[in-house]
Amino acid sequence: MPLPTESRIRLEWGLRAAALGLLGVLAWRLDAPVVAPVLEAGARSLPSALAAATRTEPAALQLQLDSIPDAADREWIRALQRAGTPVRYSAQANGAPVMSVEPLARPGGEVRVTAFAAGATLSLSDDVGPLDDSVSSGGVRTLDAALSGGSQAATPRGVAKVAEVIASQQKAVLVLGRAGWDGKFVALALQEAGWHVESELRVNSATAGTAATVRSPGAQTRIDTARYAAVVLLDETTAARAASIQAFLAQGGGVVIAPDALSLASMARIAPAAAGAAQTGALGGVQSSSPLRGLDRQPLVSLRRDAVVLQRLGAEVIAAARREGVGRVVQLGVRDTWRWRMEGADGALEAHAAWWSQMVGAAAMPPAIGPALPADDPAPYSALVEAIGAPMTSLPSLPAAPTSRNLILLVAICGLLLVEVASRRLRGVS
Amino acid sequence: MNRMSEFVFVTAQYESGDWESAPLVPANVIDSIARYTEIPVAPVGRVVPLGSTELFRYPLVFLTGHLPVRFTSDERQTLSTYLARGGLLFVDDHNHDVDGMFHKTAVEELQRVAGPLVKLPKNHALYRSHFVFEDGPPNTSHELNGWGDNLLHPYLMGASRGERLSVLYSNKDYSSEWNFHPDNKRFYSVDNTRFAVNLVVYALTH
Amino acid sequence: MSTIAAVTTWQRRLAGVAVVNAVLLATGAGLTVFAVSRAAGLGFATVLGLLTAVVVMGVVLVRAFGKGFSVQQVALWLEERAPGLRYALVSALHDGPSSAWCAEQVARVPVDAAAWQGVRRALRWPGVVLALGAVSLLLPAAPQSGTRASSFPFSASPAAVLTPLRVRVTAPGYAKLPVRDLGDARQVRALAGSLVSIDGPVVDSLRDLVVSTEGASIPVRLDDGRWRVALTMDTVPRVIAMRHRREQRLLILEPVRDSAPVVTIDLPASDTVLRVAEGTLALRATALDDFGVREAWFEYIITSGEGERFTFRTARLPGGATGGRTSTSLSASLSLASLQLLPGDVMHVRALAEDGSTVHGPGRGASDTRSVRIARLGEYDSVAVDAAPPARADSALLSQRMIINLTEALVKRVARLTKPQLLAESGRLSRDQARLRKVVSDVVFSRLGDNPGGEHFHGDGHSHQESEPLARALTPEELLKAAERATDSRSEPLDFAHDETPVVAINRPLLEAYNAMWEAGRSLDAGEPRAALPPMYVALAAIQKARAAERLYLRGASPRVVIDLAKVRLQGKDRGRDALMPARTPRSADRAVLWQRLGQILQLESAAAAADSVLLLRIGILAEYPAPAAGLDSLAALLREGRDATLQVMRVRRALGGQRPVADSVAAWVIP
Repeated sequence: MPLPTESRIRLEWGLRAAALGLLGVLAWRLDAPVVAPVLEAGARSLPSALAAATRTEPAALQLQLDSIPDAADREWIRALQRAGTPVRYSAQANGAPVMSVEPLARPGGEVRVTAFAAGATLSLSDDVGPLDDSVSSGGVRTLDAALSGGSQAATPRGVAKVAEVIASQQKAVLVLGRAGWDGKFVALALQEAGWHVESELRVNSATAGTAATVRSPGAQTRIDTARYAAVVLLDETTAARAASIQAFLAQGGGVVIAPDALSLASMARIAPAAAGAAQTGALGGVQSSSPLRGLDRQPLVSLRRDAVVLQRLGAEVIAAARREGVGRVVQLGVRDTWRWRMEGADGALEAHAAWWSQMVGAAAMPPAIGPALPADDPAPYSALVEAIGAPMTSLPSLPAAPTSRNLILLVAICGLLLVEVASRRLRGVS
Repeated sequence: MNRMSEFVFVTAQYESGDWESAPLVPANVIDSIARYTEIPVAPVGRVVPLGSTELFRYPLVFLTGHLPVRFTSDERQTLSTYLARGGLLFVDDHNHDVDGMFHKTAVEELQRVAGPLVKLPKNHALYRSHFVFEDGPPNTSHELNGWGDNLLHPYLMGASRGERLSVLYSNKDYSSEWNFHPDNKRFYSVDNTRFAVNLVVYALTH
Repeated sequence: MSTIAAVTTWQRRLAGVAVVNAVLLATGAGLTVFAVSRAAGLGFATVLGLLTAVVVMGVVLVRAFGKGFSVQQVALWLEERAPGLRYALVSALHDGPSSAWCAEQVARVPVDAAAWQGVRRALRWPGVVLALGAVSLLLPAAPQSGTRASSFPFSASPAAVLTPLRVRVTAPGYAKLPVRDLGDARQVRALAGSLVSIDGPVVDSLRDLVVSTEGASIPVRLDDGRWRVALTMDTVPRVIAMRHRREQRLLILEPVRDSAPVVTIDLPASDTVLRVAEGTLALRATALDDFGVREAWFEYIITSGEGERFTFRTARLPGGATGGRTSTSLSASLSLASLQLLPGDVMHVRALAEDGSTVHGPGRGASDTRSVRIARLGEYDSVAVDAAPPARADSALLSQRMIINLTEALVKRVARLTKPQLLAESGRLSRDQARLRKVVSDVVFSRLGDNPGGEHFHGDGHSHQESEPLARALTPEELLKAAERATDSRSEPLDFAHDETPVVAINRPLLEAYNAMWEAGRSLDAGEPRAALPPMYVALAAIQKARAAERLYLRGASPRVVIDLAKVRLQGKDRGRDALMPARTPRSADRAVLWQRLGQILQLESAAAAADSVLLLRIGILAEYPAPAAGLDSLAALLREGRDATLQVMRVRRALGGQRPVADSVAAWVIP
């Protein structure tokens, strides 16, 4: 049985009053300070927690991070922090990946990817896919690779990213020496390894009348870093170029000194070591699994303090490097390496080329790289600390936040108003 | 200067044919290398079996003869590896006869090992590596005298691996032209072995 | 029915009409939005349609019921539709149902008919909207990405023309291979020269269908309504591009080359030197081919002459019927006498075989060559005696055994013989021994110069040395030195075992035999056969040793000229000229470019397009980089099947050399 009109009018007034009352309560609650939420933010919940924190403007934001947030989330946290929301967080530095990608002084656009993650499994990949299918048990991982696009090092604790490295083209290598098998095959090996090679091989010396030299067209020009990344000196016939080579080193170029070139005083001054006693290669050694043993050697002795050993053969040092100003000098202790290529076992040709490429690459000036791109995030943990400060070892425990009833109040207000409107309408009053 | 850095002129000894048919060529070439360059060179040549691994110690090898050339399996295998690794084989037809049996059989064998032989252009680096031969390979007196096939062969042929010449083939009979004692060079107004210097310099630099 | 009851009834009816109106409009709008979205290729067309329907229904209902639905409003609506009522309904509601005028007016005017007409009018536009929605369903759906065809049969689907194909390969006749039906293939590997037939689905016309390779179009014909292309497998890989309107498809043709026959010569087993050109030379060889040997034969070249003058004769010997088998044996015999070989002639023999390839001419294979040389008189430049007729060294070996047997028999009979008988028999054996010694001396001393032998033998049982130094019995060491001096003037020996010259290595045992034979001969001459036996055994052992010696040409002892380098260097005046050589441009950098290109391909959205691009890349690098090319083949298959290709990408990366081994350390020398 329908209520009388007067009763309904009274009821409607009651509903209006109740709605207004609840609205007042809601206004009062919104104005009241909010208890800070504790956001247990892992990799999955962090974005929603940040969104909630942005909406609710909590008194403080407390994060327990089991993985390092990416750059966007870090910026979000920092924005909240700068907007006045105190941020406390705890995070484990162990297992957070760090990586670097540097262009190598090698042909073919190879880069050296070095990644580190203490105590965590580490996997490297580029835009195409994984760079290796073995899973490192942690520590350091170094990989020389030609990448497609950007690269990343991932652990369960986070992902370090480096955008595609855009490097300038690798410059040429100049081979200087006497016309002979070593000159020919060093140039050939470097070419096969992907280097752009120019050479200047002397048939006659300038002091014996008209000089006869077989040279690449560009090799007549001054030796500078605009054209060359490294110079290989094979023997003493390069004496006339000594001053030019010194200048090249001062520009940041690289020099590789073969044993026979060490007789030049200018090269001996900058070499990483002195030449030891000459040794004859072991008979048949070129065909063994250690082919350098079959070559005549002059091991490097009396290494300078700043010299770095690049290669040993047993106890002998046969390749070492040092920095000379901004340039680099690599000294070799093996001669007639062409025999390795010609007389070696299967695969000697490739191994000889790779060895020379490695030695020249250790000296050569690396290609220039462009500025870092915004997509770079090589050390996410460091970036997190830099963005929002150091983590806390343990977060203070907070009381559980009361359940917000604002939404219930809002729903109740809407319900009351709807009933009131419905009652009026059914009464025929607009 | 260590011994391995010396250039050694090597004559290939192969099972078939008369590989020793031009015994004075090595001495003559060595004489010219010493005469016109400062390249360290061994005073005597060597003879190396074509099928032996000793061949790999000498990245330039000279092969000549009059008789049919049929390589054995070992010779073929060794030569193939030798060329792949960077060796250069210089073959001269002692008959200077394009219809001759040496030419036919040697070309067949070389093509089997090294791929097709093609004519070298006259501006090839070989003709400018030390002395300049504007007209390509110098003619020999045997050609000019009308011996062999009565033809002047204005080109040499070669097989390449990439940019590198791996086989150089001549019909010009340098084996006869250079087969005299080096002391007799004093009787020549122009030393006819100068092209051999180009060949050696080319092999050592390219 | 009272006036008020009539109004109340229409109040309920109109509420129903409002709901129907909302449903019609919502359904029509929803269907329209769904159809348009689907045609535009939006993946959420259904959701969008439903959402539109709900919103429209909500809006319409709110509009309908939001204004209120009171009895007065219904009465006014009816009055508007039936003006003849003259507000009787409104008055009745206001004044109450007792008004007779009102009842009379309501009874007089057909209210229901007018109201139903109004209802129909109100539902007209919603009906139109619904019809529009239904019609919009006819819009074709956009094709899905990938190769999925449209589900609407009446739409023009491009896949219907290029998919599925039926590829059939007919190998060249000589290969005798069955016809292969490859179905809907995307890659065809077949023997070069094979006929590749591509059948497409049924088409009405060939107007929009283009099939081409490397820019050149391939004729397409209709056959029973299906389009068809036939082409021959080239010797290089080809990409067949097919296009019909908006759809494209690639077919890779990859030839398999027919290899040339492999021929092995079995007889003669090795090179041979013959003393005389007599007897028959047996020739035997084996030829293998992947599809069958068409013809096989022996070829020989006979070279005559010396110095700078040589003549050549060549001929072929049939090796017997091959029967087109994949493995066949050749055999023939060559009469050496019929060849009229002269001393110094060399015969080169080899076996050849041709397959039946008709594509680019028959493939030809050749065996190793065996040389048979006829020794010049007095010339022994080889001690190798293999196969073929036995040479003198072997004869000597047999004869020495025979002499030993005869001597041993004589020793057993010594007691029964008189002294003259013993001397006579022993003398005969001594002469036999002397003949053998002559043969050995020929071998040893043939290189001493024009004199073919070290001793002159008359055959009468008396021998003497021509050369005075050899007149007396030389020790083996003295003989060796003499032979070496005469044979080789080089001070530097060829590399040979135990620092011996080849002359020494080969001659030493023969000289030992020679010396032992001298001693044996002397004992036999003295009638002391028992004393002759020990040196005979020594001679036999020495001959066996010489027989086992390595075969070696010794004629290469070219004149030794040592250049006085220091002197010659002073004579040289012309120092040559500078020469330019081209810079060495790298090749392997191509690999990095390839890797980057592969990276771009793998980022394509369409797996089918990526697979096609990978195959195209593969064709481009097939000749130069076979290993990565093989990896790309598998990668394309994985991409097409939609399977995980991660591992395969890594394999290709490794094959391209785009990655070096992982190291768990930091490099000691880091640049810069």
